[in-house]
Amino acid sequence: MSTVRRIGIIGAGVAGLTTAKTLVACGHDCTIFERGTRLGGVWAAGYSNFGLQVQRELYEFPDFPHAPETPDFTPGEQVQQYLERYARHFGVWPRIRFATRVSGLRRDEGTGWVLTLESAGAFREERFDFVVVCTGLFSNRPHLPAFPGEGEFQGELMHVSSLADRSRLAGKRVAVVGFGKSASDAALEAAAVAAQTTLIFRDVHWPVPTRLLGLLPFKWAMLNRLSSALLPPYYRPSRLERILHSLGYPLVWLWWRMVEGLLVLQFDLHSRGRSRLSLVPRLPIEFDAFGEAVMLPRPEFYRALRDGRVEPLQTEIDSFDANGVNLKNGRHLEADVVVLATGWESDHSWLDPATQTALGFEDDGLYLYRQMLPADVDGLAFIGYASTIASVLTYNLQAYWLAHVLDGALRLPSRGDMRADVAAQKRWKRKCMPFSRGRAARLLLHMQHYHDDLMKDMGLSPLRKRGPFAPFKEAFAPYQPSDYRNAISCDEAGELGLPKADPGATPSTTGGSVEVGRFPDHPAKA
Amino acid sequence: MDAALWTGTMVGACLGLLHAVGLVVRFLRMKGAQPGFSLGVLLTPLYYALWTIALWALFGAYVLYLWLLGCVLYGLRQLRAVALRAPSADKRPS
Repeated sequence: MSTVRRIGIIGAGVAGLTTAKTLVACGHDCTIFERGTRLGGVWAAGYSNFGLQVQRELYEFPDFPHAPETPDFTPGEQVQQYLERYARHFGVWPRIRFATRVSGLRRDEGTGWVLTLESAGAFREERFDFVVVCTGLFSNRPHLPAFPGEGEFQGELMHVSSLADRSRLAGKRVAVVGFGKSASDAALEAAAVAAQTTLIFRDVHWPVPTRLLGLLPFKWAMLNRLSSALLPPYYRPSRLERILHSLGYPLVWLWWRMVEGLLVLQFDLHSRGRSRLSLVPRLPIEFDAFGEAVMLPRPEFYRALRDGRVEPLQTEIDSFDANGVNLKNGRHLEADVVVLATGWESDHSWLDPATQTALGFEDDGLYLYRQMLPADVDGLAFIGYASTIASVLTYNLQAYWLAHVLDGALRLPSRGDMRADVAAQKRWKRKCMPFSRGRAARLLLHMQHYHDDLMKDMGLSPLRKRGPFAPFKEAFAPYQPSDYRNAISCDEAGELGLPKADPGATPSTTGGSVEVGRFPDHPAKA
Repeated sequence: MDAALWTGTMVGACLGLLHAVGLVVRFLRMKGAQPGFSLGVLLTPLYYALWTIALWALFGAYVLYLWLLGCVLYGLRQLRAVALRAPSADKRPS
């Protein structure tokens, strides 16, 4: 019997909302702390013209589909509204404490946690049996590299997150730094109104088309079991994958070269355009696809690079001066505005030092058992610390997995086995994925393997396709949230042994005396 | 041409048979030990096994000849890399 009753959830983004919905349905008393005044996390506010990179059906809760009129590549504001509807529909909204920042987390005398909460300038403490961190991979602190001479620059230096309105770029000479999705979006926004737009980047990366050769939606080519098997093998590969990547490797190698060829053809990457710069990436696609700058560019992005509306410069900023930037290729670029699309920082300074040490943060992130549980810290879980193509589905499955753990329906392996699994995962990622500050959380196209792991752990079949053609669909059809609708619905009906929702349960707003929480049946603690 | 197609199909069917046997064995290992196991439960894995053989047979020729083409091109590429004494394009930075 679980002793976990009061659960604190940090962050009211996608992960926080689905975690609260799931755990409340299992009878837990959850409170969500959101530092902003709107829910939605990254969708609560964004840069000009931001939105989904993927088709809408890949970014939805399995048990709460988008409205039929929702467009593909949904604008950010509509995604935020969708999340608000979800929170209202499942009764999560009253459990959110807005404008409440978690400024500290420390171990209670037992195995619970004390959260220090800051709201309207006042601080107070509250105790929880279990805490779920749903703040995502990065904090809201922009990653701003320091450049020599930055102070002398007479123009405007900004992070892409500050670019809420493109009109401030009108008529100016704009330099955008980076080659990720936000950099490409910012460059296109600038190209529409600025006098001159330059994109400065170290490396080009393989673009993922919304439709392969303009015909086949990318999910059909990238998100099925066949393409999963052709990726550099998962850290616990199946026997078929082991054979495929040893004896069958020439076939795998040829497959990815053919994919590269198709992308070069589709995006015309060899055509050097006015800049005379080749846009063919240096790294093989099956490795580059796991880097930091994976993107589905808007179709006009590569056209803009070729026709000169955006001038691409493959170099780095060396220093700033009053009129612009000095580049490492020796060129001086005059600029009025420099937009840094250089990502975000991680910030876990609110965790007490002992917990930070026990968690073991590394340069490439935090390695966790099943991307959720620290092997050496009880009573704490991270949901949303996993980067996949269908992240809403991933977080939903993570929340169900955690509910199984908290309710004792899923017995965790020993602490030693968890550590060994984390170590194997770390070795695999460091071998198969380029360095990035979020590499520990990266799964991307390997999400099918990860989802299968979670389903198997919960005693559910990972094969979700239905109908007479299910075996064919298993191999070739893309996996998406709607495939898991049956699993989630079953769970709501209580068929998996999880407690049903208590419609009368109300969120507590004050601390209370409760039993000390710990992972149920954790062998190391039993 | 016909002989090449038939060869590929036969190779595919043989691989499919091995894959299908593997599927059923894995299913039996997973479910066989559980209480309440009956032969009726085998219908689903057998259905999947038949599909597996059929798909391998259907695509066997493509798999075989793409694999052979891959062997040639990958081999040539490796030879070229050795000849140039340059790091392979597949070599991944640590």
